[in-house]
This record gives sequence, C-alpha cells and structure tokens, in this order.
Amino acid sequence: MSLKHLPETYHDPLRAARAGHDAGLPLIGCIGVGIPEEVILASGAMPTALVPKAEGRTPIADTFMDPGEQPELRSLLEQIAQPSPDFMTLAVLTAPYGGLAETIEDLRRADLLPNAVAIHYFELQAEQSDASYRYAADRIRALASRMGAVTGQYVTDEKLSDAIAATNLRRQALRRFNAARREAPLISGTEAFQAIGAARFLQPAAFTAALEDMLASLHPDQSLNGRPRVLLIPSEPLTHSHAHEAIEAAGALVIGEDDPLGARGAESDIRSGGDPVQAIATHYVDAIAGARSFPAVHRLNWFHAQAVKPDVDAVIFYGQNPRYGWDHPAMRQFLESQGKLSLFIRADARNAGGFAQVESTTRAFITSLRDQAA
Amino acid sequence: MTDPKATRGAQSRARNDLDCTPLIRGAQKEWFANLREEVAAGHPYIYTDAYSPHEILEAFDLPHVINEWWSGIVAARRQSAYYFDELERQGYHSGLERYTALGLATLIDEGKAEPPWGGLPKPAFICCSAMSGRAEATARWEVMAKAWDVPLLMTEIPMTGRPMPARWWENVRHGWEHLYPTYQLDRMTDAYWALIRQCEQLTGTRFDIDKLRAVMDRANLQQTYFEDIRDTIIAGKSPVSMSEQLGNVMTIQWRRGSQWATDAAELFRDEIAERAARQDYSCPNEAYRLTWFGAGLWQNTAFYRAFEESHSTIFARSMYMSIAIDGYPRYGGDPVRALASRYCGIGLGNLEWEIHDTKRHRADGVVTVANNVSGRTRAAIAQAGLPLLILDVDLVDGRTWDEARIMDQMHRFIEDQVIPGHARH
Repeated sequence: MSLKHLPETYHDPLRAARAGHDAGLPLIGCIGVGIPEEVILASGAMPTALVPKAEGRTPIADTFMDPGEQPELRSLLEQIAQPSPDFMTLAVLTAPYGGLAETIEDLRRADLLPNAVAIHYFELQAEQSDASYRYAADRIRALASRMGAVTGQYVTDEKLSDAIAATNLRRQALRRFNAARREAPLISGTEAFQAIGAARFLQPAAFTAALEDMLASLHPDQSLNGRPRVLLIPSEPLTHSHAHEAIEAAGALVIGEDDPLGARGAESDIRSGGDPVQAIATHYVDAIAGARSFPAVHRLNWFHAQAVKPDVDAVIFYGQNPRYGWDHPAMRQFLESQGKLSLFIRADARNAGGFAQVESTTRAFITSLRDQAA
Repeated sequence: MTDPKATRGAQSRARNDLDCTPLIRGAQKEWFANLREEVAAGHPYIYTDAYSPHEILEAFDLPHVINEWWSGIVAARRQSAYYFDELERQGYHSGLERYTALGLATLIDEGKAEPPWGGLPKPAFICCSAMSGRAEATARWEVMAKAWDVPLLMTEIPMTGRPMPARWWENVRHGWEHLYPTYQLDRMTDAYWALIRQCEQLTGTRFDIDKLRAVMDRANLQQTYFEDIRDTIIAGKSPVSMSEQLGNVMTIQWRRGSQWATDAAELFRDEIAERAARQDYSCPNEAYRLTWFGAGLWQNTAFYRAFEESHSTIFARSMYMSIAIDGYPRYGGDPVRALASRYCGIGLGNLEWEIHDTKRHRADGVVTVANNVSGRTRAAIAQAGLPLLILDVDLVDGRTWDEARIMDQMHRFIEDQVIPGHARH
C-alpha cells in the first residue's frame, strides 16, 4: 500500500466511501466526534465522517442560514441537503451539532429540504456518572435500533463485539503511532495529523493495516531535527490540518495535539467481554473531551499530563473558535509554574489571512524561544 | 477604589411612568440587601442561571441570585466596560461570550471597584445548566466555582436534535408530557431529583412535593397576570414602555413562585389595566411598533424609548414577557417532571413562535444585535415580510456603544423600511 494512502484519503475523504458504496455497503455519514461507529459497523454499514468544507459554494444553505453563521454549519447543511443521489443512507449527528439537526428537521417539516438525507441525532451526557452511563446505553440501543431498521441487519451482541475488536486494533495501532511520533522526529505533525485523521474515512481494518505500513516505513527525518517541539491545544476538534501546516511552516514541529481527532483519539480500548452496549457506553462517555467535558480534571488531564513532559519545548493555544477560552488563563498559569512557554493565537488558519497570522506569530514566538534558550 | 462608572457607552436613562415600578425595583433592592445580611449571618443562598429550576430552590426556601439578572444589573449600571476590561486584563480574551460573564467579572475583580448593590455574597453552591450547544459556558462556571471555592452542581440538558413541535405554545402548558421525547424527560427528571437531594443535604430538611406544587401554582398564576398585560399591549396602544416592562417583568420573573413575585405581577397587571382604561399610554402618539429580537439590550434600556417622540415608534414586544407566558407555565402531573419538561425545550429562540408573537403584537419591524442572529433567523424574518435591522453592538458591553451611529441606523431603518412597510399593510 502506498505510504501516501492515508494523507490522500485525508484529502479526498469520500474516496473510500465511494468504493464502499460501489461494493454495496450502506453509507452512514457521521457529523461530530464521539459517535459509536461500532454500532454502525455492527449493522453492516460503513461509517464515514462528513467534513465541513471551508470553501465552496453552499447555495441551499445560503438560502436559509445567516451570512454570519459559521461556514462549518453552512457546509454541513449543504452536504445533508443535497447529497449525491442515493449515496448516503443516513447521517448521524452528535454534539455540538444539535442545533444543526434541529434546523434540518425544521426545514424538512416545512418541505424546504426535499432531498435531504434522513438524520439521527445522538448525544451523550458529558458528566462521568452512573446516570450518564445508563443514559448512554439507552441512546446506544436507540441508535442500534435505528441502524437495524435502516440497513435491515439486526445489531447483535456478537456483531458489536466483532466491531469492538476491530476498532480496538485500530486504537492500539494509533497509540503505537502516536508514541513513535513523539519519541523521535519521524514525521511532521501535519502528516501525522492527516494520517490519524484518515481513520474517520476508512474501514477499521483497512486503516489499521495502512497505519502499520506507514509506521514501519518511517525513519528519522533530519529535516525535523532542531525544530522546537510544540504541543498544539486547539479550541475545538480540528477538521483540517491548516493550523499544523502554518505552525510548521514557521519552523516548529507539532508533536501532539489535545484533540480527539489527533493524539487524543485512541487513549484507551473499549472493554471487551461482558455487555458490549454497556462497554461502548462507558467508553464513549469517558472519552468525551473538549469543552463539554466536566469536571475540569477530565477536560484538562491530557494537557496537564502531556505539557509537563521534557520533550515539550512549548505549547501553542490555537483559538480558532473565539467562543472557547475560559480555561486558558489557568492553563497558562500552570505552564508558567512548570517553566513552559506558551503562545495564544486567535485566528482561523483555514483562510489565507488567518494562516499567515498563525505562521508569523509562531515564527516570532520561535525566535523568542531561541533567544531565551541562548 | 476604582470608579467603574468612569464609563464609556450610553449615558441616557429611561423615564418610568408606572407607580408600581419604583415599588417593584425598590423591593428587589431591599431583598438583595437583606440577602447579603442573611448570608453574612450564615444563611445559605444559591447562585444560579436562567435555565435552572428555580422553583425547586424556592420550595426549599433557598434564596437564589440569577447570573443573567446580575449581568443585567451590572450592565444597566453602566459598569460593564470596566469589568470587561478587567476580565481581559486577567487573560480572558475579548472573543468570549460577554452576556453571562459579568458575574464572574465582579467576583474576580475582588472589590477593586464598587460592584452594584455591594456585590455578590459567597453562595452555598452554584446550580447551573449545561447544554452541548453552549459548551463554552462549562469552563466559565467552573472558574467561578473555583474562585468562590464552592461546589458546582451542573445539570446537563440533553439535546434531542428535534425542533419544537409546531405551535407548541398552544399545548405545552397541559400537554407537556407528549411534547418531548420520553427519554429526555426521564433524564431531566432524574437530574432534578439529584438537585433536590443536594438541597436536602444543604438545608437539612426533607423535600416537600406539595410545597413545590404550591410554588408552581404561584408561578403559573404570575404568568397569567403577564398574559393579561400582553393582551392589553396587543389590543391597543401600549400603556407601558419596553424599558419599564423589561425591568419589571424580569425582576418578578427571577423570583417567580414566591408570594412576593405573584403579588408584584398582579400589581403590575392592575396598573396596566387601569392605564389602558383611561387611555394613558407610554407613547400617546404611538403609530409604529417594533419587536426586539433575542436577549435584551441591557447596557442601554433607554434605547427602547428613544424613538417615541422623534418617530412615534415604540418597542412593543421582546421575548422576555412572552416566553414567561408561553414557555414557563406547567400544569398537572408530577411537579418535578412538569418542571423538567420546561427545560427540555422552553421554546426560546423558536422562530415559528418568535414570528407568531411578533405578528400578534402588530410589529412593523424587528431590531436586534448581531449576537442574537444565527442559523435561519434572518431568512425566517424576511419570509415573514418583516424588515430587520441588526445593530453591531454588544448586549451588555458598554464599550461597544456608539450613540451617533446607532441612532442614525435606527432613524434610517424606521424612515426607510418601517414606516413605508406599515403603510403598505
């Protein structure tokens, strides 16, 4: 398999989905992070992430959505409203896209989205408690029931266990990959992030094999030596690699990111044995990361554990979404107490101006890092 | 001590017409002063938010201060510019949501400036809500709980991805059990029982469900008084200005379920009825009506009266009183579950309702700020044939106020769109 397979998949996310569709697999579009794909796989369908596109025309969304609305939402509405004919069987949305799901159903009720694909909204509670786990199990059973109705294949415990086994193998491969990426300068952060990101578009076994191949082929890259090694803390899960690209264009190396779509994406396996629904429920509640997660210890534990490691030269906070940031002063204070330098950038690297801002700010930051080291 | 009133922002003050207004506002100020004394004497109070079930706190006789109300008080006293500067100085960047941040700002300012009414005392705990669509607020609540060093009880409101049922306001008061998915309602009910257990622990008293039922009854009755007021405003010229209506409604609403709130709503209703009967209107030459869409312009409520003399134009409608009437009442059934149903979907921001309510108020145009507009809002208002003006100003941040520019925008909007539109209809 070509070493470019994963980055190419990242850049053409629906390529594998088209192949799956041609092979007769029902396609399930997934919007948001934390949808238990094991349930989808157990129903004989293929999950594939629907990625918001920063550019491109959105004529349907433009009719309904405010010009100031986030381009992600506009793009996702467009993809739901006008899918390729008979391409997608169902779209599953999760937080923070509850409002988008409501909008879609509201428009559908008014007969304003005649071609929109059917949707299913799936949301877990973020608090780690018995009540949350029970609620999660209930919502997973509801998703399984919907998937069974959509694909005609009943979701059994056996099929769920098989799916768990497949995704756990992928998680293990991802952990090995992230450890290797961290251990030595083998790969740029951009390429690593893209490779990890391809997991959302490939069947688990295909992805695992491709990632193992990639890992086996990696050797220390001299061009990455001497670059400041930074942790990237984005304000929200990144569905693009532009922030990585801008930071690395400035001369840094991103060795990890506090992002479920990156280095945090495979922290633990789903427990095998026992009730698979309960195991999936527990896993996905515990894995909720980012702004929703509380108490703060759950939200910040990865950051606290990783940022203090000696291989981290500095931390870059990337504030793509200005809504987030109430944790930032305390996080910065923590870094200062650990003698780590940090940079906060409020910009959107998906557009040219934002990209330039991230790059130039990082470049100046690196200069100050080097001056300080000297 | 710094003078936070060394202000930027709007300077004008709204004129009040109603006799009940100073009574209601005076009582609220007195209540807050008493609260501070009681807390100093060791009695607990709860700091909470707009989406929490205040009726449960009321049923435990636990006084509570609402974050949004406090933000409104700080903004109305023209202190927001100072506090937002202070937040930013402490590292909270300017892109963070401001409307609900003034509680935190006055807390972490640590008395460097004189906060309104002596400031917030330390609560026994914070009781707040979390929604996946407003996830950014979670960290802010935790920062606040940490700054006060008090427990944080956060209730997650599960989203379902389903819009409110069509014309929900016609059925929700009695038919709430059937308007929301059972799984959502079950989860919310469980969460409120967890809050009840917390309150039992804090107060050392057992929960009395009949007491909650009585609180709910009073809250329901209060909303019927508001409904009478709304009917009066809809039926003819308005006897009450928006600035005065907002202040009175929200002062009462944030203490709903108490006997004081019910009595105050009745007093307010009676005076409105009397004024209407003697044709005593807030703007006697009223000819055109506007609706304010979304959260209120708390940094300058005088704005709502600024066009009465110049353009015979009033603001007749905002969401606050109407959502109290249409979204809050719950009758029948288990009161904990009934209360839970309210927060499964209160209807706020539901465009079908907003437009229906705007039209029944005979509004000729809609005014709001950019932060209140998202998703389908603009398209839905256009589809309803209503002109819309979106002001580029923050609801509470006095630093964003530009009197000349805003007045110019409003005058042009009224002259170019509202008046011609009214003539066409």
